[in-house]
Amino acid sequence: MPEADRYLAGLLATRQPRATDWMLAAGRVAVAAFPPYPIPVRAWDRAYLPGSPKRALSRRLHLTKRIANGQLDPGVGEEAYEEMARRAAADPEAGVLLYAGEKGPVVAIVSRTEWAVPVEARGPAAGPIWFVVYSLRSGVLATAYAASSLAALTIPADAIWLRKPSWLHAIP
Amino acid sequence: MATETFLAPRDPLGYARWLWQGYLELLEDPDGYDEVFILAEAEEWPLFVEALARLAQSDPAAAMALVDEVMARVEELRALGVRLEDREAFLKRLGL
Repeated sequence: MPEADRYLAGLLATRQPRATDWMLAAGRVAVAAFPPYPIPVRAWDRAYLPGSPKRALSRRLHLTKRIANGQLDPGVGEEAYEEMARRAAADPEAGVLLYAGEKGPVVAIVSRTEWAVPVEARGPAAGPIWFVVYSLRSGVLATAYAASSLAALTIPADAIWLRKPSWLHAIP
Repeated sequence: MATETFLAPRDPLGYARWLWQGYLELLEDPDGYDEVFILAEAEEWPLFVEALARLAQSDPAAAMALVDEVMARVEELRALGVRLEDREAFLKRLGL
């Protein structure tokens, strides 16, 4: 685990972030990528993927679902999807938080879809929030998707908000 | 089979069932999948909830049947990292 990720994960124990730690966390996400290795594709997912592959990059699987539920336009490619995840971290109004999950600590970015997702890439069901999860244990992006509200994300009550801009206080 | 299209609005049950079957496959063999992928699936749970809420609007009985299936596996889902509330709160979230 890189030193920066180790430091951020350690904040979950100390719960004493510095005022600038959100920049470190957002910076890690801004340069991250999805796992570069193919993973097994579940049978039900396979049926929905062109060519029904038995293995695929996780970003392909996530993107297929973002298109299926109308969040992204069918013309969006894998690299563009990955870039949307990174772009979220550069949103000047991004919320940045840390929490512990069953599969290790994560950084989550709560950004504005209007910032992270180019207008031509949005589908009819793209909600106002673009949510990105980064695994501190693995140093990779886990997922990125749109949400209709903050409440819909069911963020853990003990999450540490490194930065919570005012617009996030104003939405449900 | 639909691919690369807006499936959810056209077939709410098919879409919700697709997502749920994916979770069932993970539960069958949680050690057989990449850790980051399992993390992602847990974090994408709100999308399944959204799919269930959409289904509940058009076919409440089908949505309730899926809720029953979910609640039968609640502890296993939580062990995967899914942040799943109790049945009453879950139903309220779905508008059921």
